Amino acid sequence: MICVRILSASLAASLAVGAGRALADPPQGDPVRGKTLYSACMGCHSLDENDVGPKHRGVVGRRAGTVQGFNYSPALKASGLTWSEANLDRWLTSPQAMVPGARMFFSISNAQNRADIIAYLAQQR
Amino acid sequence: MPVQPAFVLHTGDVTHLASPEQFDTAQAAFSEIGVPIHFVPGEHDIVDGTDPRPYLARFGGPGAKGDGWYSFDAGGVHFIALINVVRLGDKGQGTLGPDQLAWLKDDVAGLRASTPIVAFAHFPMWSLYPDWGWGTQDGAAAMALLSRFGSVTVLNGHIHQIQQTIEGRTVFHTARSTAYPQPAPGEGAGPGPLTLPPEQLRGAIGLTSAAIRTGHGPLALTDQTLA
Repeated sequence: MICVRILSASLAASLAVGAGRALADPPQGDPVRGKTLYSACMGCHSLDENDVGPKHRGVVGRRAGTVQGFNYSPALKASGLTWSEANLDRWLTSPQAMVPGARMFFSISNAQNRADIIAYLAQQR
Repeated sequence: MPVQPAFVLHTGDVTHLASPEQFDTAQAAFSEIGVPIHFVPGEHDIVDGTDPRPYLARFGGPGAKGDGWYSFDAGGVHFIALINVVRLGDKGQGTLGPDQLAWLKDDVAGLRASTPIVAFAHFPMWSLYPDWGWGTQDGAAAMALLSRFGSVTVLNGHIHQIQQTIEGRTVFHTARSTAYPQPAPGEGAGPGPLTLPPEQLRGAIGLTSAAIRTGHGPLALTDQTLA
């Protein structure tokens, strides 16, 4: 599965963007770069402690609004979301557009940066 | 305080989580200071969204407009309180927004260029370290509106350490925090609280004093730890 995704990403990079595939496929995330980019999140989050935001270890694949001891918005608690990589990409693009009434207002505009951060978080088990 | 100042500027994060209880505690503590305090909010004072009203109801400046921006004159200096924490930009950077920039243009329109200007906000108004959100996306637009003035001093909080830069006739200065220190830009994993040995802590937090000496160049800024 991973091999297929790497292949499709490299194909998209080597083909002309005009083919449209590069826009349709989310970029492949680089967890090493993601670790550096994650520093932008650390004003409010860390891997192992709840603060302004909930702790992040294990977030990929987790049901939204379920970290013990964190005071979530009613909106996120009731969202029924699971933090798949695709959902995290939407969330980091605009949390308020995805879950109106959520408490997070931080966003990452660059798709590659989002993919890198998600790839890093996916390793934090 | 060893020297009673004319007033205090608070560059934001009155609270950590913007709860009514934390606002109560802060108000009680500030009531003991006994001099006027002019506030701007930090992003922690608006932690559950983009509504600054719970903060403004307690700490808003007189005549505040929009999200809470205002100005006042003291000692021949024009002070401008800018709000850059209500709508976060990319990577958590601050934004001022077109309404505030339009207000700022009007606010300074009638001032002589010789009027010293002090602007204060929570996030750095220059691009100190955007990867950690340490900047204001449209800060340069605000600085352009102030560029005709002979003396511009821009103060901010947020990063819990002294950082300074000079661009043209504008001096940017970040004060320390009175809460906890944070790492230098780009050093370490990220901008979370920096844990120090207890004996070093009070040497890493503190206040900034500004002395106004009209006609003698820029403001004299003095940093003092709480040690």
